[in-house]
Amino acid sequence: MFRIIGDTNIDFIGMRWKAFLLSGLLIILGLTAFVMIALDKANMGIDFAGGTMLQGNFDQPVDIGELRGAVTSGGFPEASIQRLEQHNVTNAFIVRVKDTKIEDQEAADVLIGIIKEKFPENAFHLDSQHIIGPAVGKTLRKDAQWAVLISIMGMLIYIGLRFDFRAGVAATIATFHDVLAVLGVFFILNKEINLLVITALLTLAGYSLTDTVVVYDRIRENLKKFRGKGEFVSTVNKSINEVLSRTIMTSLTTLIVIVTILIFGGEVLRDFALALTIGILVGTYSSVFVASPIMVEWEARSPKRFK
Amino acid sequence: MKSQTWRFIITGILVVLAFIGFWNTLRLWTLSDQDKANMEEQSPGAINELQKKAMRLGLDLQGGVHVVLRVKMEDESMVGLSSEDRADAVDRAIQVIRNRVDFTGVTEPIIQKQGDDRIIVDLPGYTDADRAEDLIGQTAQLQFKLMETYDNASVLLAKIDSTVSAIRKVEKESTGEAETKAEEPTASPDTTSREDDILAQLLGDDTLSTDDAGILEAEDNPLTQYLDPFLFSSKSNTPWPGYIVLAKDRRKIEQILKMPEVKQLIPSDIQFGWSTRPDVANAQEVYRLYVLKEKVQFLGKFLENINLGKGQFQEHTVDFRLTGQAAAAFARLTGANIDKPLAIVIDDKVESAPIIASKIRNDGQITMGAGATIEDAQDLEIVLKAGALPAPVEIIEKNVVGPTMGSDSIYKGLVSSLVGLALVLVIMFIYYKISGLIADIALVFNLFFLLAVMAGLGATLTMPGIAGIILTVGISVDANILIFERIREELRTGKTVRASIDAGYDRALLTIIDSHVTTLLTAGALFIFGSGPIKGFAVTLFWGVLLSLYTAVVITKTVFDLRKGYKTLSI
Repeated sequence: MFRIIGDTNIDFIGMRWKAFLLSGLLIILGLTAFVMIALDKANMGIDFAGGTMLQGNFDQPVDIGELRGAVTSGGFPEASIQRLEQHNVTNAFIVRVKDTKIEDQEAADVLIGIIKEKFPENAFHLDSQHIIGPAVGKTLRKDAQWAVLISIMGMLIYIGLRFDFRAGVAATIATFHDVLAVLGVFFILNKEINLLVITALLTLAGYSLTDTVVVYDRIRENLKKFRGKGEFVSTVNKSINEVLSRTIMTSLTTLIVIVTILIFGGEVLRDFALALTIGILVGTYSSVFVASPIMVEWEARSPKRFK
Repeated sequence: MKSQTWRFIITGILVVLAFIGFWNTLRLWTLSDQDKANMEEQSPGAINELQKKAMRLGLDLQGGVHVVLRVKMEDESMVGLSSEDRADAVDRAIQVIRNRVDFTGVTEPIIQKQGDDRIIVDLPGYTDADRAEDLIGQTAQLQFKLMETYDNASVLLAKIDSTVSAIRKVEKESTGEAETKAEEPTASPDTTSREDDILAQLLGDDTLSTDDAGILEAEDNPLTQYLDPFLFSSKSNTPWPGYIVLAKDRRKIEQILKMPEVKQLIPSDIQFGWSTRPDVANAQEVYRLYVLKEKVQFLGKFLENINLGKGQFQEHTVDFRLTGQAAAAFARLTGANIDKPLAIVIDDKVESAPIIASKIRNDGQITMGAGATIEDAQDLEIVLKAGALPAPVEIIEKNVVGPTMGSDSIYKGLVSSLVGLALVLVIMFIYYKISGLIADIALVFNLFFLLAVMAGLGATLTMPGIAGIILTVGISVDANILIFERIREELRTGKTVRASIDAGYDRALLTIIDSHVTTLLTAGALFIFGSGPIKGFAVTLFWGVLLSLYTAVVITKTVFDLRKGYKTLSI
């Protein structure tokens, strides 16, 4: 039998105050990011904010600084320009701006004009473009909010039905913690919050809850087995230790595929994979260090057996 | 033993169903370009048929145009209509757009209503964004109008000239005063302005000497300085108010015509119209500006039998036929205006204004304007055949995925799926030995079933959808990890192998269901509220996780149960 970790007896619950401190910081960071998004001060993707994305390639190599200079001084000071690694063409770039129209001209046409003027000898081939009007951005934002709300409500109800109210609340706190942590990290890194990142956050919420559910299932089972024999804290600790190898193995396999997307998946999926990578790390941590300790603290304050 | 037989039968049925669901997709994916060419040669359209039956690729993978239109409810044609009439207008607009798209020959277009006033148009494989926009977005209201007489137009233009130049003089004086005031504090304002005057004079003289229109004259003719009348090849050589305008000057003229003072001058029965597209005159890009009589003489909706044709100088034309009362009306119109130009106006832009040579009763021709290509003629043919939109629309979202990006995404999706899959298979084997191999088999079944369900349901595979498949690979082994860890625990308590396996499956099952339900809930919410690509992700995640419940639990158990007596277990 090949085992990454043998039988462990780590006092996870004993470390709960250190964990609460760290998690508190992550949550504050995440809430800050959330408020900034609400105030429209975060780096929102063009799918939410509206804007223009152009993707194309040059015949000859182009210095990204020169391209950026031309675009930013051409009336798009907030333009984001990225080099794109593609398997079939070279010298490919993505240009994103928050405008769709400059007076009555399309921002895309203005951008192409700027690029052609700056590099007259080096042909630019426009391959793809995405133009999202502000009205569409608003709709997508509203839809995303609903998706987040509905899925979190659904999870809360399910956990509440399967376990009890306390477990539901604790699991939800742990899940929100993970989502906020990733949002916070994205905000600090000034990464763009777009539709795919929100999708990643929701997926992550589901994943993190799965981790928590597995621990809770074991706690419930052990409580039945050792009814009256042991203390609540030691039972919780024992349960976390018992499922630890599963927690790590699942995180490992999921992490491996996500990192594969991060490395090979290309520009479109990069931020999506990054959000999931951070999220799986945080989610694994929270199912051990956040979800169960909350239950322990609650139980200590008002004893009532976990069902 | 009985349950084992059932498991075999059910799995067997599922495999057969999966093969049926996946068959066409498999055939399409395994065809080389050469095979496809051969197939097309033997029976044209066969590839298209196969593509229709196979799994659909999203626009982000195969390239194409995605456009979201909004019907302009604030347009005068819509204001005051009841909500039912508005909804009806949107439905008619969808029908017209569908007809236009059908004429382009795009296979599998998606045209659907979104909300109250939005229309989504997906054209897979079509990457000419500008042309798609023209085809879908133009109202295509075709009208025939007569031109104003040259003399009347000249009088109007002269009035506009004098009004605008008067306004500009007033403006200049006031700004000039402001400038002098602002310059007062500077050291020697007088010298600077005198120098400027001399410079202006020099420049002015220079311009006057080389060009007929100098600065002094230009100030008096703010509009007509940009207009250069062109000849209509009529027998009588009567001049008509059509003007050539340099493309770079168009903005200036539009600004003048937009001025409220100028708008007041233009009588309600006169209208200015620009040519549909630029053409080249004297090696310069130019537009044409026409002065038209506002009255609509004839409407495009009466045209029948619309087809491409050629004019007397081999220029492109769109030919049409008229019958019944419409023919009589057109005959009256053309008969009464022989040797005069008849402007063909589409969405307030003038396609051309050919001279009526003789009375036209049944067979007419729309001459394409200067600079028109065969594509322009084809597009006009299409929009005339499909009819006009009941109300103007605006494009509020446009997503064009070019062939480079599409094929790059497929490549990257393929590489990351294969690498991710291989890594997970290897890790499971290393960590759980033969049992891990059994889980690997289940994982391959899971992927096969997933692709088959996607193909069978006609779901669309998108780039985020591929991410969903890869994620499924990571998540679906979780069920096996839960089971195997449980079996290991049971083994450690000293149970026999057989008892440990059974207990492991029994005890893990509830946990597996609990943990999968949460992921299914997320996928469901994403599916309901997500847009195109996100829906693709939700679909793959949902089915992948759901199917893994069967493959990871039932199929692996079936393999474990193949042997009855276990002495040791490789786990």
